[in-house]
Amino acid sequence: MKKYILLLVILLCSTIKAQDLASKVPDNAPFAMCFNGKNFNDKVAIKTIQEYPWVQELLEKELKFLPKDLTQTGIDIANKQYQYYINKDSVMNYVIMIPLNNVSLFEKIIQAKYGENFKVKKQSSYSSISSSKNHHLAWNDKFAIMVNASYTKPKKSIYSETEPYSDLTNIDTTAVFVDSVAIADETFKKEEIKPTPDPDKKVISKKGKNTKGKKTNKTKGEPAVVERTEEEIYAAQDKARAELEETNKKLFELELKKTDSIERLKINPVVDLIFKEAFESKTEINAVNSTVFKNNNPKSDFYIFADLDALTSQLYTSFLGSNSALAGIYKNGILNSNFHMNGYFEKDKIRLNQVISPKNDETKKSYDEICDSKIDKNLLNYVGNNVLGYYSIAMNTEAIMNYEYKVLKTTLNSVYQSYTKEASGNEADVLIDAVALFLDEKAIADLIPGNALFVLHDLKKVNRDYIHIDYDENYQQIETKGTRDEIQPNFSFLINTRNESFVNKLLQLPLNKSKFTATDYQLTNGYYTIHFEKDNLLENLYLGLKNGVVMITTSKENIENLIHQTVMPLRSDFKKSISKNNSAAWFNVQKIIEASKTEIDKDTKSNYYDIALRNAGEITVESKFKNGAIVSDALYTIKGEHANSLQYIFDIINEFYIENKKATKATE
Amino acid sequence: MKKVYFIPLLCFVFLFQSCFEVIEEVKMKDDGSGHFNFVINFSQSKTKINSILKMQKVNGYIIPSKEEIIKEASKIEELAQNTTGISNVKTNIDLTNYIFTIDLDFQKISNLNSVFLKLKNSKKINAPIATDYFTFNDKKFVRSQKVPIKALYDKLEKADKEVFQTAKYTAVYKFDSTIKSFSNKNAVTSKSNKAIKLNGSVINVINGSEKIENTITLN
Repeated sequence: MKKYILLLVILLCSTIKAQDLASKVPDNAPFAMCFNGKNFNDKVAIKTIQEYPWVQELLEKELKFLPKDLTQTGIDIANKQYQYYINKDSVMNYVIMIPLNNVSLFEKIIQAKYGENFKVKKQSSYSSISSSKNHHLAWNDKFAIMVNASYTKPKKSIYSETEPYSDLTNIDTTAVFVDSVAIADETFKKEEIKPTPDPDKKVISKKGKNTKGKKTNKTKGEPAVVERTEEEIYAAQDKARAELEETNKKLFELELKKTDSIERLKINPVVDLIFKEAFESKTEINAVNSTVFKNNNPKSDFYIFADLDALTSQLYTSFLGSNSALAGIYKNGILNSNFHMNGYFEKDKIRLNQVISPKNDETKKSYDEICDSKIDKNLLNYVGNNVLGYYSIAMNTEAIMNYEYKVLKTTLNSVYQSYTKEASGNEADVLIDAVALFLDEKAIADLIPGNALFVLHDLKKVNRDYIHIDYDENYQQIETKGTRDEIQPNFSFLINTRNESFVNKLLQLPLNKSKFTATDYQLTNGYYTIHFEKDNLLENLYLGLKNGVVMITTSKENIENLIHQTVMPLRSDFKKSISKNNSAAWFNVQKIIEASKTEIDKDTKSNYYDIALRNAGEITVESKFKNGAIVSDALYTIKGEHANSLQYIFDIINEFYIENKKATKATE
Repeated sequence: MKKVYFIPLLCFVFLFQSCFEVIEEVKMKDDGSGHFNFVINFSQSKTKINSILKMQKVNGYIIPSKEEIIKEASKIEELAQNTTGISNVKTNIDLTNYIFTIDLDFQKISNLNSVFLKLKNSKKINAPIATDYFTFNDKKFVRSQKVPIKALYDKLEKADKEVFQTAKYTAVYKFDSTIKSFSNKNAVTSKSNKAIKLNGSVINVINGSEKIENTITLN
């Protein structure tokens, strides 16, 4: 893991001529990443990174081919580095583009890594090397490209049995070629097979030999049956089994060779094409305006783009074969969107700005309707300041249901079409409309309008006693009592409702049931209490309803305040975050880890635990629908003494590394 | 659907990183008769077990009710009681602290082995598992381990395997006569030298790094 982080860092330490390489990323790449090397280098200089003991160990052991001074790799560490995924002719390719500033230094690394074992191929505009059928590297004096290509022969779709020609449009050319070669090869071999010797002939000739050689007194007729001993039978069985195993092994090896040659046949031309497009193509994409990079904020430290629809359907096709009707499922709903994220390593926090933009106007409209909801402010009145974390959601239930009907219709129609050619594509509409007739969305939305808030108040330490069986000096059993600490969650869950009478009936229902006896489930002071026996995870769970707010909580104070309508304070930033977003979450990871220490075995890895505790920060996530897209901001506020949030990551790896070294020394 | 009584409990014990202990005690008289006591103590995990008993299913195992656990215990009691040479069978199911105990007297140690065989057959375990764990001849008491525990353990799901990570065991053997020698170096004799105790971790026994086998020679 650490090795990859370091390699990534070296590769991404990159700057200004960045757009050059961005223009090499195909506009139809369903996944792409950009690392802003200059920013990275400004935040944690490569010189600082190479001083970390864990990096030094990596350089000495696993990454020996790299120079000790990581600025001498020939890689332009002050430039932007790009990575992308693309599927070409059923070959999945993950491509990494590395800017170079000193090709001779870079070639030294290649020499150190591959030595004489692999040949460098010189092309007119670039040099290349392939270390395996999957790993390929090419470079010129400006940049290098690493391609990790893989090909899996798609499985035959089970649906094609009913519809044999359904996937003709997506036929895999090489597979057909190789298979036909295999058939031709088989025919050829068949011709070569010598006719099986006639067993009768053999007998005759043997007989002839016998009669010629020496005269025997053997009686003619039935040969005497020689009964084999048990050992002989077992030996024969073992021999036959060994022969069978040998044949199977050979068959397997042949199959592997066949798969290997198919893979090479598929992969090599695709990789060559990627190299040619990158090194020889004159027409370069204007990266700034391309779909892939138009949202890349120049100030961000890294950027990720994904065309969720293309990515999922390409991965699906690569692994499971092509079926245009089934692939229609992926055209549905939120998967038919583009995703992009700008990431920032700021001084005291890591900030991720994510956007999911649906491509389809209808989906956009649906999401607009779903997110047309603000949290019922009444829910925020009964939370209080005792908060370790919360998660809120404000959605329009009726719009969600209507949207789900649409998605189900498209999905089921696609599935149905994949089974039969005669499907009109509207069959599922009837079914879903029938379901919709039975479900009253408005009534459901009245009962659960779509506002909910979960609050973790505390993880309380509780003392539990237990019995341990001990022995006296003469090994007579003695029952001793011990105590141990456990954590007990203290939480509240609040939802709003516009149908109080139904909820009231629901809450009253268990009162007279035998399962909940009067002592287990009680109505007192206007709220309901489920009382658990001793030594349960929870002691009491309170349920109540007042003024459109339904509350399930372990806190007596909160439920009583709801029933008496006593407003409790809540931090203004929490209030703002929950009110202004469709979904908001906040967790104080440090306090949660601290509280859960009780449950962790004190002997095990407590030092690692302390590192986690010292450095764990706070997580905040906010999501809302804005300008036709779902916009989410995730923040991780760091703790501890670190220059910035990027260095924070390196420092923590280092702390764990040092601790691990100490532990290894101690065990030695 | 399988309904195994202790495995779901064990699974849940894992989920919350708790532990349990297993105690095996044999009191041998010089005439070859004796007393057997077996305890599984989940007391340290009782909160978790209380929660699990409220669930329907964990890790694919249906969770038995408290009544079903008691019924199962009485079945075992009956099975042992009906074995030749076995008497005074008593099971104790403490559903507050989750300590399960079985006590019985045997005329000969082979009668005790017969109980294990009957128990194995009643659970329809077809695997060729030997059940003659104890022998007592010529002042020599032998605890052997013939169950292919590692193979059985390897067949378990990962989540089920984790259950045994923190489990502990104790084996105590008591005699009328004093102990002359014993084979297991980890075992410790009592002050009177008439009893011997072996403590360890269940997972180490499974992995073979600790042995429960012991041959004790008496004076």
